[in-house]
Amino acid sequence: MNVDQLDQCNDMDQMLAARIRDSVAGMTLPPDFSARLGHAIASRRRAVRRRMVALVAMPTLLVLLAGTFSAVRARKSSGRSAPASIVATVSKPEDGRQTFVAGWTLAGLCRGFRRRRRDVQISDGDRKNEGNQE
Amino acid sequence: MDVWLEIRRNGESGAKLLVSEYGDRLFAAAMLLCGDAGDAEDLVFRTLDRAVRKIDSYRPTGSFFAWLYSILLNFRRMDARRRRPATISSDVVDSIPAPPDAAAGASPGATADRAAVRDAVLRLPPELRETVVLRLFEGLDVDEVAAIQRVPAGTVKSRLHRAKELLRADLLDSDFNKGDSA
Repeated sequence: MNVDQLDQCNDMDQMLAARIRDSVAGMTLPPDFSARLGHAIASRRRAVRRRMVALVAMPTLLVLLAGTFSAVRARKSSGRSAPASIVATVSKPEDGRQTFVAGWTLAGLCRGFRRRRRDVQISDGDRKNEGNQE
Repeated sequence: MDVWLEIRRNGESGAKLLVSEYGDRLFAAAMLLCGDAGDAEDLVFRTLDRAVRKIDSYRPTGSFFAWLYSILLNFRRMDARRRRPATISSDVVDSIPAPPDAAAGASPGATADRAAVRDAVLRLPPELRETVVLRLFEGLDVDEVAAIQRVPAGTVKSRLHRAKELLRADLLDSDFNKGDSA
C-alpha cells in the first residue's frame, strides 16, 4: 500500500475526522471578542495617525515656521515694528517664496488652533451631556 | 460581500464580519493546537488583528481562509519556539480543564470521549498536529495543506499517515482503558 492509497478517505478516516470535529464542537469565542478586536484596531489606527503627525507634519511645520520667522525678521530689520512686520510679510509680497511660505504657515496654524478649540468645545459639550444624563 | 473587500473598505466593520465568519472556526482549530482556551483565544485575536492590519498583502488568487490559517500557524510556531515544549506531556494535558461542552447535559461518557480525542491530538508532535487540524478537522485537500504548511504534498501525506496511526493507537488505548475501568 503506498502513501496515496493511505490518504484515500475510508470509513476509519471519516470516523476519526468526525470524532476530532466533535471534540471541539460548540467551542465559541466569548461574546465580547468582536468588540475587543474592533477597539484594538481603532486604537492602533489612532496611534498610527499620531505617529504620522509626529514624523511628517511636525517637521514640515517647523520648516515653515522657520521660513515665516526669517521673512518677518527681514522686514523688522528694515525698521518696521513686530506686528507691522508680520502684516507686511503676509500682505505685501516683496519676496514671493517667503510670503507664500509665511501665508501658508499662518493659515495652517489658524486652522489647527480653530480645530483644536472646536474639539475641546465638543468634548466639553459631551461631558456636560453625560453629566446631565447622569 | 467578500470579507477581505470589506476589511479593505473599513477595518472595524470588516473585523466584525471576520469574527462572525471565521472566528469560531479558527477558535476550535486553535483549541486543538493549543489545548487551552485562553491561549486559543489569544492566538485567534492576534491572527485576526494581523489579518486586518496586513490585508493589503492578501492576494485574492488564493483562498482567504488558507491565508488566515497560515497567519495562525505562524503565530502558533512563534509561541512554541518561545516556550519550547515540543509536545505537551500527558501530565499537562490531564491538568487542562475541559472546556464547556456545547451539548450541555451530554453524558459523562461522551464528554470524556471528547476530552480523550482532544488530548490525543494535543499529544501529537506539532507538525503532525497542524496537518491533522488542517486535513481532518478543516477538511482541506492535501495541496491546500501543503501550501499552508509550505511543504511538498508527499510530506503532508506521510505526516497524515503517521498522525492517523498515532491517533488510532492512542484512542484505541483510551477506549480500551475506558472499557477496562467500566
